[in-house]
Amino acid sequence: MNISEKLIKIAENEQRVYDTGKAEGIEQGKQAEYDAFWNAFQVNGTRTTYTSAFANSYWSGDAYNPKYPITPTSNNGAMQIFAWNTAIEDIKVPVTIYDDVSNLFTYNYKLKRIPKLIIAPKGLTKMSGAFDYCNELEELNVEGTINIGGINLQWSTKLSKASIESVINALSTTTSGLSVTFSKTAKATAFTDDEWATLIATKPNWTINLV
Amino acid sequence: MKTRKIIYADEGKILTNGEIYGRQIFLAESANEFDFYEITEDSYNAILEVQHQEP
Repeated sequence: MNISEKLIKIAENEQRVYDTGKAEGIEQGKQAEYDAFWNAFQVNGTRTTYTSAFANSYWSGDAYNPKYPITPTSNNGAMQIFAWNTAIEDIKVPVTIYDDVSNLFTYNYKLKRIPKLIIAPKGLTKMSGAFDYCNELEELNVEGTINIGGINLQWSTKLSKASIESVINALSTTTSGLSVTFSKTAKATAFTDDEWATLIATKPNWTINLV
Repeated sequence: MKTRKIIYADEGKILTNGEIYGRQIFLAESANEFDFYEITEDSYNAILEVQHQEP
C-alpha cells in the first residue's frame, strides 16, 4: 500500500469511527430525552393519578411510549385513562385499574393490544363503555377479578381466543345476576361449540351475551 | 351434569331484558329467559347512539 492509499484508508477509518460514534451518540441522546420526559411524566414510576392522561387524540401512536407501568392509586371519578384516543395501537405496559373505569378505552378505534389489565384487589364499581368501539382489539390479558357487570366487547370482532378466555377466567365466581358481552364473530372464530361450552361452564353464575 | 339455557334472537332482532343485549344469550343459573324480549336491530342501534356521546 503506498502512502496515498494509506492516507485514503486512514480517512475512511476516521469516517467510520465518526459515523459509528455519531450514531451511538444520537441513540444515547434519544434515550436520555426519552428517560427525561417519561421519568418526569410518570414521576419515575410513582405517578398516582392518570385520569384522562392519554385521552383524546393529543397522544399519537408514536408519542405514546410509556417507560413504566400505569399504576394509579388516586382516582377522581372515572379513570378514562385512554378515552377517545383514536391513535394508540398498543398499550405496551401493564395498566392497573379499580373503582370507576367507565370509558377506559372507549372509541380506541386503532387499539390492538392491551398486554396486561390488572384489576386491583379493591375491585371495580363501574365499567360501562370501557371497550366501546375497540374495533381492532386482538389481545386483552386480564389479571385479577371482574366483580361487576357491563363489560361489553361486542365491537372487538378480532378478539383472540386467549383474550376471551382471559376475560372469562377473570369473572368472579361469587357474584350473581351479572353479564358480559362478546362479539359473536370473535367467539365463532375462536371456539368450537364444545370448547365454548366447556369454557363458560366454569362461570355458571354469569350470563354471557353474544352480539 | 348441568346444562345452560341459551336463547336466540330471530334474524334481524336483538334480545334484551332492558339492560343487557345479545343475539345469542347464554343464561346464568339465576337468569330467567322470560325476562327477555326482542327488539329490532334498528332500535338497538338507536339505543347505542343515545348511549354514546362524544365529548
